[in-house]
Amino acid sequence: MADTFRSVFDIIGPIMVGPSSSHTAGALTLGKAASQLFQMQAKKVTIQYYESFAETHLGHGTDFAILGGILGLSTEDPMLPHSLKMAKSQNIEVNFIEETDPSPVNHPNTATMTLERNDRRIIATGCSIGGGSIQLNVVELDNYQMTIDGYLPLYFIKQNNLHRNIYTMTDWYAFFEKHSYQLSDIRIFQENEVEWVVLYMETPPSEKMISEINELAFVEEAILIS
Amino acid sequence: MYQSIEQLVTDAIQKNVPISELMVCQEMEKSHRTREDIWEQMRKNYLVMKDAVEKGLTGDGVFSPTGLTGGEAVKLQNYRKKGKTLSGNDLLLAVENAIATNEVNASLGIICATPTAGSSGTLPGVMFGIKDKLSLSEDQMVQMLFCASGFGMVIANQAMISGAAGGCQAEVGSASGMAAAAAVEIAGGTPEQASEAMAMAISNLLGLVCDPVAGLVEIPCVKRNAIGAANALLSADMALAGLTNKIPADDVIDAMRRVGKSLPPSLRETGLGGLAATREGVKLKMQIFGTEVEIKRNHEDS
Repeated sequence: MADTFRSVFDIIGPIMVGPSSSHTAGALTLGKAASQLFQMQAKKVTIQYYESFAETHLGHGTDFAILGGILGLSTEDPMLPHSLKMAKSQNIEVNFIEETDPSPVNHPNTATMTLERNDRRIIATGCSIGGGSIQLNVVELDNYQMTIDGYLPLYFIKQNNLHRNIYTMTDWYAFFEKHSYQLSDIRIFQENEVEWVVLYMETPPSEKMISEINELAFVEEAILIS
Repeated sequence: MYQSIEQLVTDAIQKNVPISELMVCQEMEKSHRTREDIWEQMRKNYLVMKDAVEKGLTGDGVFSPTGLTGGEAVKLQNYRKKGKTLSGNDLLLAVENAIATNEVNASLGIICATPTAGSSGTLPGVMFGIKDKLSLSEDQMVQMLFCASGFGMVIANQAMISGAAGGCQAEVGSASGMAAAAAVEIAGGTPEQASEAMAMAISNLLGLVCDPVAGLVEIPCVKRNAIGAANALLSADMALAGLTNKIPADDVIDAMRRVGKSLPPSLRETGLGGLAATREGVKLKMQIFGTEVEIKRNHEDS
């Protein structure tokens, strides 16, 4: 069984605005993950809640928290309870939907987040597993759906496979081994000339690793979700 | 990574170091950060806990936006200071710190999740309850957090720590177990005694449901932390006196996981069962959210 909680600070922490770590802090982290994937400020945000999230989002401040995460606020930001007003003043359209169906990923605290701006759209489904930690389950980028089921940090790397010398799974493992860094897992999703490599990290990568990855010629995008 | 409490205890005995020290070392190894850096981050968590306790006990206390909870930590403090309590000064001091923290949480104030926000009062309740009695330094208070994290991490990975996944036993139950173990370590008990204290504390709260009125982390959450803190202190004392749980800590964690899985969704943080589904509970929900709500009894909880 993979360990979900890996740091002492997953247990003692986060420092956060109340009232619920899974429905407030975890919701914020879900929103933050979606916004990191989107890489720009969304103009339209749609949140679908399932099960416990659907029943109790009002009381737990889940709305302001998940939106706060999308707007880039931290769990301890005193402005967090005011995120709906902030979104309104920035003309961001926000919709919350209480779904009555069971969670698509079989967890009581599940949200599906759709972020849109002009013709760009991403959809991310994740669940809040307690104490502020989350699992990212399904991601749709560029109309292409990927089943992730991973814990943060996750590194999404888009590589162009028309390029010569692109990294295979073995190359990626070797790259991190060179940095004495152990990866938990790698998944590769292929679609035509594009490949999304998803790296499952144990701890955040160093600045050096990040800059080396960005310098690889075949890497079109590198998105760190942390 | 420690997969069991037994491994934690065995390693602590073999290396002759406290469990808190094992956790500091594990964090250094996992994160490639220095001891000072990790200690400082934990100290910040400690300072947030300290501020929350103080805030909840200052003036008339704090109140939640709904008005369901607030001001009761101060009430308890005033009562305790009169010196005629039934359960004794030390126990009530822990309880009042726990309530103060959870009132701050319910008021959308800043707290440190330990392991969750709903259960954020239990561990600080115990820590600030015994601080003066044992003359604990700031470093010793931080040490308690590392010790608690070791027990909490095994519970979180082998069972669950969210009310939605496993009921309140997974939140306040886990927090109470973590606090009991940390209190034993800082009071000079052995790693085995810390493990027994955790086992007793969680055993005592096994089956505790998560049934927040109106889905809010207020009723009964605030006072569940009072019982979490008191239960932790009693379990710590029982373990230090040499009492044992007979069912080992890892088995208790497994029992908690199985009980959590078998709780119906109405008793796992949906606000649909238990106290939330009482006449008064539903009335409060209607008053707060101003919409017609009906009592749903889809599951076993009826």
